[in-house]
Amino acid sequence: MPAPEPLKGRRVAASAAALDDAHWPPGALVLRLAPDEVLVVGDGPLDVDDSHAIIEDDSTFSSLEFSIVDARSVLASLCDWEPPTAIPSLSQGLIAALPVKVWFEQDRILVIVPTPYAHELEERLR
Amino acid sequence: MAEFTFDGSAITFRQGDSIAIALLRAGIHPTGGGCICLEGDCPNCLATVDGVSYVRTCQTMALAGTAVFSHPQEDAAPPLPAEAPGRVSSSTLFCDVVVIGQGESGRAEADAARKAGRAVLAFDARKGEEVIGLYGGPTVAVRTPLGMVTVHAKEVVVATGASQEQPVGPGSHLAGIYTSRAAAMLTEAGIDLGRVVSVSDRPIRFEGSKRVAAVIVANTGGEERWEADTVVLDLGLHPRNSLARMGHGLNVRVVGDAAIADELPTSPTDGIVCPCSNVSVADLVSVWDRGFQEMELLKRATLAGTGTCQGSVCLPHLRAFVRDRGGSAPEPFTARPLARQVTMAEASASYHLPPLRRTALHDEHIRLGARMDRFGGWWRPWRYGDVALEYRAVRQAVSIGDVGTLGKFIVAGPDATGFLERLYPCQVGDLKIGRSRYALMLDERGYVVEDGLICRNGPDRYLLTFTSAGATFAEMWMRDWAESWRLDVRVLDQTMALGAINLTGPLARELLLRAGVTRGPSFMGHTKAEVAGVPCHMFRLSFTGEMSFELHHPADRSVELWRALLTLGEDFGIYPHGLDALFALRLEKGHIIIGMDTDFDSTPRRLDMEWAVRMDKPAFIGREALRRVDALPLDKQLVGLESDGPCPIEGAVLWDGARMMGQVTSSRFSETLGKSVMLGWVKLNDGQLPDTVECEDRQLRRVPVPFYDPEGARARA
Repeated sequence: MPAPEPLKGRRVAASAAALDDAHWPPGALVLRLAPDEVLVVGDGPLDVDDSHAIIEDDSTFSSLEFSIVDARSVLASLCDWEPPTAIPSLSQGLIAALPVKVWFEQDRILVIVPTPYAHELEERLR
Repeated sequence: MAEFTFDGSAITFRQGDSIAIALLRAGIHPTGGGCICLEGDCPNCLATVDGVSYVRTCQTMALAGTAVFSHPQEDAAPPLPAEAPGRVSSSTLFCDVVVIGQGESGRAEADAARKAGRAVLAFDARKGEEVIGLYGGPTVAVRTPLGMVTVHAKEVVVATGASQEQPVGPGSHLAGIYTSRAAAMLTEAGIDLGRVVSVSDRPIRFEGSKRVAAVIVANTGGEERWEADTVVLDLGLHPRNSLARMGHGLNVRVVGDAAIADELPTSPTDGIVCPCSNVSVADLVSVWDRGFQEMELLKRATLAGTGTCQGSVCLPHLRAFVRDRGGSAPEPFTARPLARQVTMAEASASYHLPPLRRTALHDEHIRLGARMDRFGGWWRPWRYGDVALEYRAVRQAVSIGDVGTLGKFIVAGPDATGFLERLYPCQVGDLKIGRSRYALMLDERGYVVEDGLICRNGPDRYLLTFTSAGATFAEMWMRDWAESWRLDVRVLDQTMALGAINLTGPLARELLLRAGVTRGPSFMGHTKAEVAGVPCHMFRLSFTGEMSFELHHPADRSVELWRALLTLGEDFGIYPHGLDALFALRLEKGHIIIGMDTDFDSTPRRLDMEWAVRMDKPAFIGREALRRVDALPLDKQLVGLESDGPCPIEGAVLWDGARMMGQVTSSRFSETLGKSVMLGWVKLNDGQLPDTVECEDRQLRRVPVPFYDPEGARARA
């Protein structure tokens, strides 16, 4: 099992309307964590029309990538929630009692965990 | 022929034998006696199998090398396994329909659902797939040979069939008594049952010593005695409906024999009713006569129905007992998980301990020899070695501490100032950009629930800090109130994005100079600066009582900054400090720790911190409660205490003669002051705080806080 890698990005807290209409860097991974919060992984300018937006560099998270085949067994053994059927999509919940965000793509998933919990994720997936 | 052992003796078995059938073929009753069903309903084949007790041997395949031990006789419990059990895997599955039971009706249900295009999972207890509980959802918990399975289904079909009635009467504990289905299985397995007497009416009694020798049945006008090696009983069916009862209110359907009407037997008059808990008819009569005249009360008073079979054997007889005395058949008692025994390893298979967080400096602490401890949901260094060295480094030179665990939030928006004015009891709007203020946080009852700093860094932008343990609560609290008040604010939690190092001690400023900071903030100010090449937000404050700079920085630069400060401060005698030293340092300054010095009903007045509350503000959370309770006489207060002797333990009771006055919340011997200093809750006597209290056979003096540097000159230097 590989170790989680640091996931550097930017976090944006802004009005939901501004985030709905925002323009993100091409090719960036944009995760809508909440109606008023986004995690952007990828370089490039952020265009968020909210003068009160909070935009900060972020090193909260680490991530671990799985093939979709490996992911099925990981999720079945350590999750108590049903993976989404729509792809791509973001789920947020617990894996092995750890708070995670899971980005589902066609052939891979990205498990994103706050770095202070990364060692626990590594141990619990072992 | 393959072999397993039973109580140390070799037992040969045939391919496909269960352990129970192999034992019976060898002439051994697994528990010594009692009617055997071979369908998992009765407790009369339980044994310890490979270290696991209470295993139904009729549902467990015989395997070569298995070690089987009989349970102790009488009421003794079987021994615990000598070795810790291995890990049991768990998995979570999702489907449309779960079918429990794969007899005729269960198979038909599963087939029909599959044909209708529904995703079906079917479980068969005969293959060791035992459903142990139904929960909300419906959610089905299953113990399988491959591990524990949790299934979230849209519908559950219970097709668990019916069990054959077990006898209750004199001699029903003897060996050689079988239900008719069990007898058929034994015959099919090629076991010679000897002289067999089949009985379909409830016998009057069984005769024999250990093993049945005869059965006595009623006939016209008297009794009839039949000598037998084996008595086969066909006394009627009772639905196996405990799972159905457990699923009350859920989308659970019961089919087949599990749904038949339960025809109760005649009330038992003698013998053992509940073989699991060894409850006799005499026991039932005894508790009934003492007023336990309902099913649930009978169960609790005698433990009938609470054992291994969970009422499979005794429930019809218990209901008949109550019916014959109460006039009508009572409902069965409540069915609850677990329907089957599980090992501790199985019960904990999908359980994970609450996780603990590590700061970015965790490995640095370990490298420096720190003893780590759990605090506020984080691993934190308690001591690096000699706590006195840590303490002295802070008081006399310079030290660093890892405070990356503190809650750290940005709040911004057009309503940010108004929001914080209502959130906190102190003034916020007058705070200048670049300045900070210590703040309490109150709940609606005026009780202190959290504390931290409010730091303004824009007209409508603030940084807030909270305690390590309180950050999650603080975020929830802020978001809830912002939404309730419909205020236009944005909140960003940076707790885990930022590391924080507290640089503290009289040489802290000199060390910052070496790190490239020519001009740090003044006391309670904050500014951005590069420290040893790492971008930091510096906060000038003091929890230790010495000049302190809290350096917030990207967590992925923590190690770089930590090491640089240690290197730059080497000739200053820099030494990191852990929580143990920090608690002593802050106590000398009289700084409280929320949750340690505060109680569930600590108001600012009781904490002697009314200076942190502005009652002239029009509105803040807790204001109305404070207005009311502040009109009442003060009843207790957190005070400073000192003594010349050793410090009492935290939590020690304070006395005034025979009157309990309160308790010590924080306690340390102060090296600098040469005496013990404490914080503690003390009741007032006739509106007055006592000047002295007793604790652990010595006198403590009440003194003002801070104990150390009361003017704050060192912190403000």
